[in-house]
Amino acid sequence: MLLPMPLPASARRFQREHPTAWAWQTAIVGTIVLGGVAAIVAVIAALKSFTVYSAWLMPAFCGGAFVILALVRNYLPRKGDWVSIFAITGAFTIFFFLLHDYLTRTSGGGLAGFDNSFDWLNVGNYGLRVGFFVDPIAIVMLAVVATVSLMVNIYSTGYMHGEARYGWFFAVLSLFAAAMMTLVLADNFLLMYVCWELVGICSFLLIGFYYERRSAVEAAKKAFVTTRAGDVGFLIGIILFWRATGTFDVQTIINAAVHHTNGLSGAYLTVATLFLFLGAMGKSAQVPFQVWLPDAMEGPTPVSALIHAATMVVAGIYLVARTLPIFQAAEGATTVVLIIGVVTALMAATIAIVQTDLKKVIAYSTISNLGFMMAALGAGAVTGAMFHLMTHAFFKALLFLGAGSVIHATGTQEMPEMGGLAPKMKITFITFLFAGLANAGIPPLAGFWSKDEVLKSVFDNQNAVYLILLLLWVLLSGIYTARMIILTFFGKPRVRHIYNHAHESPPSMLLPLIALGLLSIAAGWVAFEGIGKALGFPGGIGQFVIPFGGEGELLSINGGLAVGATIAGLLGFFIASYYWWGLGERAARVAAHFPDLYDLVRRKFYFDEMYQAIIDRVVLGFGRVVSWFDRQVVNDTGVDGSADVTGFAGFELKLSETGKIPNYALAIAGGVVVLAIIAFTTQGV
Amino acid sequence: MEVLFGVFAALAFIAALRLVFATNSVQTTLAPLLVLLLAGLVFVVLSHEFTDTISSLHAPQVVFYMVGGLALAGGMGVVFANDLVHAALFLIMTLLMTAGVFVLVSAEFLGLVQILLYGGAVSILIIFALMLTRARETQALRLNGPQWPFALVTGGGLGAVLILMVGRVDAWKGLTDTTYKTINDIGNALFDTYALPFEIASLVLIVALVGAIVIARAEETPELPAGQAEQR
Amino acid sequence: MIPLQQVLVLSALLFSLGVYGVLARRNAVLIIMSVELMLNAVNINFIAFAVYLAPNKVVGLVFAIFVIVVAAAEAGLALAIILRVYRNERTANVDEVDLLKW
Repeated sequence: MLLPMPLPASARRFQREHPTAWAWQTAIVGTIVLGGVAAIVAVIAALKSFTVYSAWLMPAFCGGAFVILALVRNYLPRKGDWVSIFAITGAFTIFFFLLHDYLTRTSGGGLAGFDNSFDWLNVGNYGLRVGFFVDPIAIVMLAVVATVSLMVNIYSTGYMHGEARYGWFFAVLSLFAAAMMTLVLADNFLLMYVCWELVGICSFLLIGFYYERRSAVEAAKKAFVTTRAGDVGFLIGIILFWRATGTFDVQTIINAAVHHTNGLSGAYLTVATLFLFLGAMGKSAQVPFQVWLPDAMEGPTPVSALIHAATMVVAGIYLVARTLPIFQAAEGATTVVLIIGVVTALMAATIAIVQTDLKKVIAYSTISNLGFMMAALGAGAVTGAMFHLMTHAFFKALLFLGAGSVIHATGTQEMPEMGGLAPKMKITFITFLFAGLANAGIPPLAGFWSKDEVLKSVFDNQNAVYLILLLLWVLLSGIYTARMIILTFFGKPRVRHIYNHAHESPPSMLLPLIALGLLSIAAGWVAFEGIGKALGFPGGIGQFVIPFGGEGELLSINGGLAVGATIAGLLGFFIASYYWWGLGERAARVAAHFPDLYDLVRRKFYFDEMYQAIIDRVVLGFGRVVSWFDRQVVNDTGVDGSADVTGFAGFELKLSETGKIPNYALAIAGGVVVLAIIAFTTQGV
Repeated sequence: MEVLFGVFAALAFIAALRLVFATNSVQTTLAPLLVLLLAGLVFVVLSHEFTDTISSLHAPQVVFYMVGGLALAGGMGVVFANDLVHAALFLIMTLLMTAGVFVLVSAEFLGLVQILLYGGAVSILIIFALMLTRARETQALRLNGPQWPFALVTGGGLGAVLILMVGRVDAWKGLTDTTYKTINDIGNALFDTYALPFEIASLVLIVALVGAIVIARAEETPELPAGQAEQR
Repeated sequence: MIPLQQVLVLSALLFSLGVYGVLARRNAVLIIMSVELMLNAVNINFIAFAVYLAPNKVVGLVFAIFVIVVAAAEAGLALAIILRVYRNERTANVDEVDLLKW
């Protein structure tokens, strides 16, 4: 049923009447097709002796899928969802060849980057080159993008089943995958910026996917405008770097910044770097740009998982990680990153505790994890940040997909209307539980190892205050995670008809859940040297993702720190169990006891209201002035004035346009004669 | 050859004059004929102004004056005549006289092609067009549009500039034709060096003819099957 | 034996007459005739230059043949268009057809 073959009417009826059986068919046939595609691509790649220089093939696959879907999706069976899955499977398969070739090339030691660039345009003697750059950071990021994209594509065939604009959804998913991969692989800031905006557009389109709903439109607009505020900073930063070095090439700029050549030093460097950071803050929803991400949950849940948890929002982290040497060379830049990260992490984790919307809890959890990664980068732990980026992508995508499964089953996002769902949705519950435990950093799940890695570098390099704040963050993470799980899956059903209606999701949705569940458990183990070596890496992730100019490190666990963090996480679980088990009367009592504090947190520290006030006073006030100027001077005098002149002239001159061909012919011939006479008299030939 | 053409040209001119006098009143045709003769005179004088050959008149030269004068006369007839069909006949005269000019400058093959294509095909096409647009029946009182004075100025100005130009180029003075190419040479060139342009030209012709048929074809009224027609 | 300039003057006069005809005439068929006149003048020029200036080459003659071909095609098409206009507008006078007008 997945192959190009129009569905007969009987099949459509079958699909309508037996959705579960239909989903099973999808899963089985889909698995076979995926295997087939993977095998074909593998054979082709092997025959072509695939190298790291062919990395562009990954985005090219997805971009091709977007073109096909954008043009002919409505003429394809199943609205063309299989095209998108084909493409992302191809990219996923290619990734392993890429990885293999990269590891082969670097087996002699030294984890260099490989650049494959070409002349894009030449203006005068200024040439612009674009290309694709593969290094360990890019590879970790590619792994995340390819895996989560594939899982979300498969999941969406179930979750988005029966939606209007089903094909369009997959088209945008393909475009997003292509743009995101190009962003990751870009070797210069310009290409990176183009893709940066492209993923922003995809995010906009997908948040506003249900554009019949006013709230979705508002959220899409908000996300677009808020991130754009940061993107302007990013662009200014790029221009500042270009002005100093005359190039957009990332590696060249890093070298210049590290050695303080080309005038990249002192205040100039710091300002340029902080502008760059502004872009990262917008994309990764750092304070004060965090307001758009929770609203972005208006989009379909798979989108939340892919774009607003695993890939696009970590683009900011990726940007900072990729350019970390610049930040370290710029005076004071890493401190800013560290402080912003810590503030974001704590604030978002606090807000997550009081949210009642399941998806919003996870959204705030995402912001808080992003802040944690930013803090890690501020502490100089590029390895730990990328490691946490990877594990977080897996378990947070899983949390979102699990939440989507719950929402699919219950039809609501409000946790107070759920409760006691565990026995009805066993697989969803178990995977969700594992993801939650990983989020809280309980060993031996993925989140624990990466979190430990980050905490260790903060402990080694930074002030003890940050370490304590981050331990507090672990505690808060434990609390909101446990609260979320308890309210959703345990206790007594709070709304009876929703509970009765609930059912387990179709297999096309469960398969990605299980796959991501396994990753959430095991992805952290790549920290061990033995496992890394078994997979073909030079060692654990500490020996693969190496800081600029640094040495690879073996996994070393600081016993006290690990135990402390675990205890903090578990403590969070116990606190949450104490307050929210049952019907949550205890939590309500606490809230009633501190009404002001509760209100402050529940209203998200009044950020939205503050922005609203700023917009009302400053922006609208300025806007009124501009509007007056525009109305009176630009419009009435300039535009209307010139239009009046043109209109009057046209009114008079139209009499000369007779529409009769002889008149025009006469004009042409007369012109020729006049020209000939002029030439004759002046040239003298 | 030249003498033959001269005789032929004279006959054609007389035939044209007779036609004109037979079908129209004297006043309407005399005026253009006067202008025509005047133009011939102007042409002869202008020609000698640049070449100083007034003393060396010989047979081909004389024939050229005759043929060229008739060609010009025909051209004037085309643009000045007060009757559509007369204009068409004057055009045929000009075309044939042009063929004579070709022969006189020793391009015989082109002369023959000119007679075949222009004298035969194109003129017949034009006369058919006159017939199909019922030109005679619906002929307007004035054949010239209101802007004819401006046209006269433009045409006259162009002619003046061109003739002055011809007089200015020194390299062209005193050139006479001596050698000429045979049909063999032209054929070889056409089917060897210029084979591709030749084929393209044939394609252009075919496309033009198909286009002409499509454009000129009468509007098709969709024919309905008998049953449907009755239902309406 | 015939000087080149004489031929060129003939061609120039014919061309000017054609231009006058195109601009002054009302009837579309007459205009086409005037265009033919202009094309003829051009052809005379081509042949004259070919014979007098490049006696060892045939380029000019071949080009004249192509001009004749194009002229024939043009005449056929133009007359078809005139026919169509006449059928739609019931006139072949160009100043009565002003579909170009605003």
